Amino acid sequence: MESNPRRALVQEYDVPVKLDAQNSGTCGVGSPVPLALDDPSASAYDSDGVDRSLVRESLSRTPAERLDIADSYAQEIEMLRLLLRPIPLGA
Amino acid sequence: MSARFRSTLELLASKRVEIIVVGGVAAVLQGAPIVTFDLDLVHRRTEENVRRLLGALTELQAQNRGDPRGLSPTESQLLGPGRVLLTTVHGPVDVLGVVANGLTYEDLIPDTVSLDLGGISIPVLGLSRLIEVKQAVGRPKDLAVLPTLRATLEESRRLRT
Repeated sequence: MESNPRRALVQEYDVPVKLDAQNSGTCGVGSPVPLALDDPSASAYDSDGVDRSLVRESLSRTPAERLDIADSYAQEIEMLRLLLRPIPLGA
Repeated sequence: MSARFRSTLELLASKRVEIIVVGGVAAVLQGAPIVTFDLDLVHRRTEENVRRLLGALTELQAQNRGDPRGLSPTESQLLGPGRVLLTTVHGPVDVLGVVANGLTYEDLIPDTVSLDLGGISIPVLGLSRLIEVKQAVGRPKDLAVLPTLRATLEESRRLRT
């Protein structure tokens, strides 16, 4: 079984390019694309596919700031869900 | 729209309810870049603390989640070891008597960190213990977040050295 999640995705979607684990990434959901050698985003991901740059950015904030961001994300996603909910016919 | 995790935690602190923040919000507070929608709390199951918790939950208009009768939580529910899943005016709140393999408030309190949320100090389960708990629980949703939590722990240790 493939241990690298990004490489597994590539195999699953049969992307016809040979990707290096340190030099590949995903663009959007389930759409793996090769990254150029000089692409700075290539070094952001670790071998588990975690974007370390997001982790470091979050760690640069205070717990209070992180809580406020979590609050606003949750509320905005809920708002989007409400907006995208189908409206029943005749409503 | 008002901030909801903060509002709930501020109310619990003002009522001197003894709780530990666990789950996704605990991870977020310690730097994990994840999105979460509910607040998971482990509470001290003494009669006095449960009364204070019930007072706070009444102010939050808490109702058992998914219960069509909209029943409010009870003292006997909160004194027990089960999971009490609630809907409140500030969103979903899960009140847990125990986590993982029967770990109580008293078991977890030595592994908490006290975090300043701007005027209030809240006990939060430390990241390494949170990882252990999520591993022990072992549900797919808990396991899925482990790489992010481990990376966060590693980066925060690197920052400290």
